[in-house]
Amino acid sequence: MNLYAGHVGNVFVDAGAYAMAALRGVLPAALTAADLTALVNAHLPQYPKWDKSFAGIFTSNHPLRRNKKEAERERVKTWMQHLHAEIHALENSQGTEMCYTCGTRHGTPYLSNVMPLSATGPMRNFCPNHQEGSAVLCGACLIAVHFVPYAAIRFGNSHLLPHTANSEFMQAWTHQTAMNVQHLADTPSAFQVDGANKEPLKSVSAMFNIVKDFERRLRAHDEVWLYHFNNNPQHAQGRLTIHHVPAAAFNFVITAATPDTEADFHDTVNSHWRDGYNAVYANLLKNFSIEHLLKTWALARKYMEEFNMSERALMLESIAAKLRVVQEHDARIIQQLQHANNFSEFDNAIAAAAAVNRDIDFATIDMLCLCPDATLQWKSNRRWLCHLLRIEVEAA
Amino acid sequence: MKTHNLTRVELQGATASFRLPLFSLYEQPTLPIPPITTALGIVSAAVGNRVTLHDTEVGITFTSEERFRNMSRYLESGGGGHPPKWNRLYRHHLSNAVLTLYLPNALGQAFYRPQYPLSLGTSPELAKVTAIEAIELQWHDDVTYRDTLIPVRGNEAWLGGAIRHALPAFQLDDKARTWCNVQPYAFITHHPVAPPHGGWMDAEREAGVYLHKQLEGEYPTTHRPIVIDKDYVIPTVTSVQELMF
Repeated sequence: MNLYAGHVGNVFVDAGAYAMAALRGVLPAALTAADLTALVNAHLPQYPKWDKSFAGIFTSNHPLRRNKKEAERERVKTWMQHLHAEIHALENSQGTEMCYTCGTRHGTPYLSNVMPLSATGPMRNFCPNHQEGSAVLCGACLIAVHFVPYAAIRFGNSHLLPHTANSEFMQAWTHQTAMNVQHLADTPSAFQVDGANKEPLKSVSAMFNIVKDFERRLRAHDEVWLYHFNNNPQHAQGRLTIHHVPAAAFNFVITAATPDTEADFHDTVNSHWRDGYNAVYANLLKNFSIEHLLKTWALARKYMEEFNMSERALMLESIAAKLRVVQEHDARIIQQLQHANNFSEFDNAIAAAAAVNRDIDFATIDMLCLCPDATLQWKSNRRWLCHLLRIEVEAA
Repeated sequence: MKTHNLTRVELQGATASFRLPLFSLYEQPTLPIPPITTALGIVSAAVGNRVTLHDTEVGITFTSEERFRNMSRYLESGGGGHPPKWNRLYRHHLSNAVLTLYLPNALGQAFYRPQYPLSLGTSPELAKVTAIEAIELQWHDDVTYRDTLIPVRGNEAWLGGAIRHALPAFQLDDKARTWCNVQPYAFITHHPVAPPHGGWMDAEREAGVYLHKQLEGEYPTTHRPIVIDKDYVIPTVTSVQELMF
């Protein structure tokens, strides 16, 4: 019986399945009922101990966390028995309704408190079309969501969880996060990070730190949604932010961390930390340009290659080298370039530079300035040229 | 060449939003493309009766420009004797939305005189019907799909890295609006995908059209049909209305 044949399209179930697979050292498709039993027995008894650490994912109403009179040990034991019954039921699937997340197995109606990010009271976050806030879940999906904490990066009450159809990304990600959580299992206080208002930014940096160790690049058409959430309604950053991160952003981090540019990349990243905020990572996440932050040409070239700007990179590099000669003769021309307020002024500054340095090919300038979308790209071109000149000057 | 005659209906709206079913409190993110149930809900509004995947096949393409969010404050009623409290809700929207539906001719004609207001998501997001055209889809071996959603099961090999969301093919008409035929759907937005065995193509727009197949059998309604007495006569009321103030 194949329990987790592919992505079901529910961020919590998919992430939990990959986390379980990472803990067992297999692929999600290879997980069996025996694996689920072993995982439940090994990991669930630890949850009450991590109560505060996982409060950002499951509410206090979760069967493992809720404040009942029965002792903690009894509470865990009862819920584990229930999960064992669900695992047993997987082998002879019976029921009237199909599971809401996988749609392939029969399930049992559950209140929303078993799902991450569910709310208490009359309002429910999971399948809110149900007035009672209940949804039908099969045993496999129910157990998978219990392992979401092993797939998320956590700082304070904020969690970062990826959602993608790329299996390799999820495997590499959960391998890192699950091992980290296991490593920190005996020291729950290690989860805590000072400075609550900086939490989201710190988890973003941690995320890119995980990504840069990936061995394989993402495919260009891979989409990654990052769910950045917390369960605290009073949190200044809101409860949920979804970042649509292009594959190019991840690939840049992966390629920049290769040996030829690793030192430069570390230098660049380390020089942009401020109060737990890293400008390089934060801008990459929000799909903002980071060219002004890159410190060497090699890094800038890799950045442009990843974002499909290879041809422009070559052209800009060639012009920047020639403008460097102009700068030695007449620094004012470069100042004009830097302070150009519109496309016309930028065009004039380039023409003036060409008059000083005859090596500057007018055909290249035309390509740069008069390309069909020149009026849209001139600011970007100017920014790149000025930045490259600065790099050249600093290198000299 | 295989051909298929359908009606292409284009609707435009200043904004649109199709809530991700997982989240409803505080933050309501939107799906990039309307699910099948939403698209057929719009068709139902035009027709005036329930239309589901049991009644028709449907092709959906959807484009939009920017994503933004709108904050609302609302007074949450307090349960158990607690006083009500103010809360925030952030709903995500898509701007300059264009929805194109490929429908059988009989359903497409209903958009000339929609029975109910048409909206792209929430009721204030009214949609305008900008085109209703009879077209002929052609079967091409090299077709690419873009700005559409495609069921994943059976198509895993060629759907690439598009994001997946678990959604129903239809919902029951019971109180809970129970989801049926749930499966992951790939949302093809930025990177086109090409099916290995060809597909339908809208030659005028040079765009592939993924047609969601009609389901077999009848819609499993849980309600008894409402019998409307067309000869009903409004009784004459002779009493005097009481003054309220």
